[in-house]
Amino acid sequence: MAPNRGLKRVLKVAAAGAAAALILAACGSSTPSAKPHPTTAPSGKPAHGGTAYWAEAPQATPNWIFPFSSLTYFSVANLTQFQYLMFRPLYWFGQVKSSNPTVDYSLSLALPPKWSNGNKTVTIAMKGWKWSNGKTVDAHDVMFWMNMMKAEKANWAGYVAGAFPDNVTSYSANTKADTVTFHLNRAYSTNWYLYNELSQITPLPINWDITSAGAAPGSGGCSSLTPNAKTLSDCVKVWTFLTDNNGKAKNPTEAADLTTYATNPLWQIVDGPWRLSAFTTSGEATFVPNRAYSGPQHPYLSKFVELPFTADSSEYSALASGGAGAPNVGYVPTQDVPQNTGPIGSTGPNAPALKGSYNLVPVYGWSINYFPMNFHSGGDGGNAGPIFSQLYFRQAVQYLIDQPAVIKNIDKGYGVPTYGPVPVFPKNSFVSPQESKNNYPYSLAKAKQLLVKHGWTIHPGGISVCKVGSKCGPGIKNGAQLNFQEIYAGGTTSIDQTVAAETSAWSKVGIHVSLRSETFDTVLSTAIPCKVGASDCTWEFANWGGGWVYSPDYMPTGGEIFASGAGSNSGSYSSTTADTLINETHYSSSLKYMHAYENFLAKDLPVVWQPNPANALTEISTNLHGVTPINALLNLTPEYWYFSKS
Amino acid sequence: MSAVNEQLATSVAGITPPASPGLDGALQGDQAPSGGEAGASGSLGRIILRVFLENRLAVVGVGILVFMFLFCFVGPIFYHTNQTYSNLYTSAGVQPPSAAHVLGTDPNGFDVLGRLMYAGQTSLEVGLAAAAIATVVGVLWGATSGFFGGILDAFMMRIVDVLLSIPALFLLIILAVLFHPDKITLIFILGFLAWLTPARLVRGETLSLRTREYVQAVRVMGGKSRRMVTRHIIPNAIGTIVVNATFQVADAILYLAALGFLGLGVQFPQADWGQMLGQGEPYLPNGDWWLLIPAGLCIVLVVVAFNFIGDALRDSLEVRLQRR
Repeated sequence: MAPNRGLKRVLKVAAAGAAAALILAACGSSTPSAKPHPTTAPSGKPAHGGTAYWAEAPQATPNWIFPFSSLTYFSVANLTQFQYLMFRPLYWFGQVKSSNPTVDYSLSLALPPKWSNGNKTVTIAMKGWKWSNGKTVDAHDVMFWMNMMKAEKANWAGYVAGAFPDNVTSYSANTKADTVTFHLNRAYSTNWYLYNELSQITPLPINWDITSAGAAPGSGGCSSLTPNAKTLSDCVKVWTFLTDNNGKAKNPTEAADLTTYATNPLWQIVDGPWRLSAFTTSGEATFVPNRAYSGPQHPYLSKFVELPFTADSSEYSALASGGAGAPNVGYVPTQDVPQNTGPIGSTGPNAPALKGSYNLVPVYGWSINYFPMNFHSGGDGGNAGPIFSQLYFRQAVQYLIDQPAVIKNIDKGYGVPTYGPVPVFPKNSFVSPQESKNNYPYSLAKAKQLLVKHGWTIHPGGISVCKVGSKCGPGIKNGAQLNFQEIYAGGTTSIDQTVAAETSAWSKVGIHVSLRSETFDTVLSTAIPCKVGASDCTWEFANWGGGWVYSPDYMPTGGEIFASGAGSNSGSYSSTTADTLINETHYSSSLKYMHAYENFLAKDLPVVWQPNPANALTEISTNLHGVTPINALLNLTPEYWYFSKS
Repeated sequence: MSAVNEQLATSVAGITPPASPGLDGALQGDQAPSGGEAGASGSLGRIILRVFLENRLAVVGVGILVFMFLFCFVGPIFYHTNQTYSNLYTSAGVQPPSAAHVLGTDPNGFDVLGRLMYAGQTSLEVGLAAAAIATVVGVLWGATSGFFGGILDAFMMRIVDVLLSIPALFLLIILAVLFHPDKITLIFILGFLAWLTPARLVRGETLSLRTREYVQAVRVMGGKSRRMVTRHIIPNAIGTIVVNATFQVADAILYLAALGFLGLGVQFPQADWGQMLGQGEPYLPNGDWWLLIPAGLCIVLVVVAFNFIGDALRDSLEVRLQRR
């Protein structure tokens, strides 16, 4: 559910789309490191107290506290690294003792869902954990979310038409308010529904069900256990009160008023292990423990502080210089670490300036990396779209991506290959044997052969030309040129290097790609699905450098990025075969459907697969423990962190 | 546009520094400046050249420029390097200096010495062309405004004032983002901003020159405005124009470097010195000096050289004006 860019992952569109059912691999040992991460093992006796400082990604500061947000605020910085500390989702994904991206019921607010009626009904029993004001986290709170989602689905970034909550025909709570039941429009894969649909729910406290400050909790009418049409209209009013309607409504502005995040009593009602005690508009957030937290681990630390940085170089300087305010957990830019010669997932030597005071821990997210071509593009004199629609052309492009070389020479050994829609690392059972290997290993000869065979005259270093239109493909005219433009998110050394290497390789067969550096946000907003012939449908290649992180669409069924017409199907790829295979993954839990889907897409190249660099090369202060293993879904759990007694 | 230009503006406004003792001989016997239609004068040219050459910094400046032009435009003929295709598939990008690469390699694996030459071509071409555009536009604008005066002058100068009130770098960044610059676009973007200063300077000169007797004489004899401006006003403001142009080149190179450093300059695989600095900056903590110091040195040397030359030209051309 998220185009991501390394440290600056941005969750763009939410999940729901596919249905299938697989269980994440046994993943028993999901980090086959050459040597164990240095701080993984607990060290010494945990000391209670102390302040831990954590470095935010450069220019990625939290700016939305209400855990129901539109695309604008749907980022890792806001969700998993800010809101989740205070407001826990119904089901928690990612393990504490491993980097498996699987559900962790011990940290969830509800018991495992129970299925009935031929997998058309799912019943969720709440655990009875407490909010910080003493009230129980119960069915009211889940109904509040569901009612809000029904009323304001256009403002929920995770919404995909036809999926959650559209696939819920009715939902209700029992009178004791400890159980919620969902009736679905058909039978679904139980795992897919849990990992990609129920995963979106975050119970909201009744105290937020108001339309004016100081009103009685629940007076807003949005948390009704028996929702009707009036409930939904009430929810709109509550939503308007809790948000500022993206700046359209001036008052009230509860969630948009950053200056009151730490003082507004609404946001002090939490069910997570932390509550906010201070917040600056520049993005510095200070958390203190929520003493009423019902979960298994209460914080050791007395304070947890998130520090903003404008650039990774300034953050690195703060790490290297040390001092009282230096981050205990930060990150090192790729260019500043020595080469890692170990296998995928291993840890190499640390940067000399940090050795001794910090331990290096690379973090690999539950993600894939790719960039789209626009199948509907009117660029290149109208030839771009028809050329991209030809599998042989996409294969030629893919054959010239040397993934092992990029990982070695650009990512310094801290990257994993992407061979298809399912991440190959951390190890999981979703990935098929075929997708685990490179279907298109680097081959200049094969790329050249494909183009020549299909009527192109190759001009190495220049621009190849279509000489035989009938061979080049439908819609491709004689004289058409392989001359394109790629917009990419510039400014990050490894991305700059990767696009330079790729375009250089393509030029060897006369695929001329001129580069245009843009901001990350500009690339994302340009690379959107568009219609053939539309005036703004001329972009050709778009590379934001980060592909997609599967969160909270934790099962990598890919419907939201590869299904025909999906909102995040940037390049407008469309294949009836792919659509059928995707749907089968939504409806059945059998692994064979997942493998069939990924094997097809790995070869059909809906996008160009490229290496996936480590999400972050994390640096952890040697006196801080319990930080690792780091959650593959990038959820922060500082309640497990501690300084040891000396 | 720069501190140097401010200094120049003060100078042309009439607060000219006293002639140095060395100039006395050259001025001996000369009459007061007379003006008139511009014409060539062999002896005058020699005097200007002599005064110019007496300024040692100016000579150093010329030497630096000659060297840099040879380095950037002739150097690649003898020092062949690939500056187009990254070789990151076969080797790591940044490599320290070695026998194969005298100044090491950059993040894309390009030979840094060759890259300096390649990037220097862009920096010098853009700097010179942008200055040329700025000078031509600025001179015509300023001369027209100052010569005709009145409402037209007020209108034209308010446009200049408005544009000058916008921080140049801010405007440059916006334009660069909007137009996705290549070399030609950058020339026009920089020229678009740089013409304001010469316009203002020439307008001031014109206000003074248009009241001179020789201009009045042309007017009385029925000379057209165009002739007065092109044959009498502009030639007699040539000192101001030429000196300013040298500073315009230096300023354009600096602005190009700033844009390049911010990633808003020319696009890969093209390069300019500022872009090289921007690419090298993340490697600063590693002590990879060859990614920063050579490019920085090139920028400093060229800018200083143009400033030296500008200063010397001001002195030399002042001699010319005084002689007249």
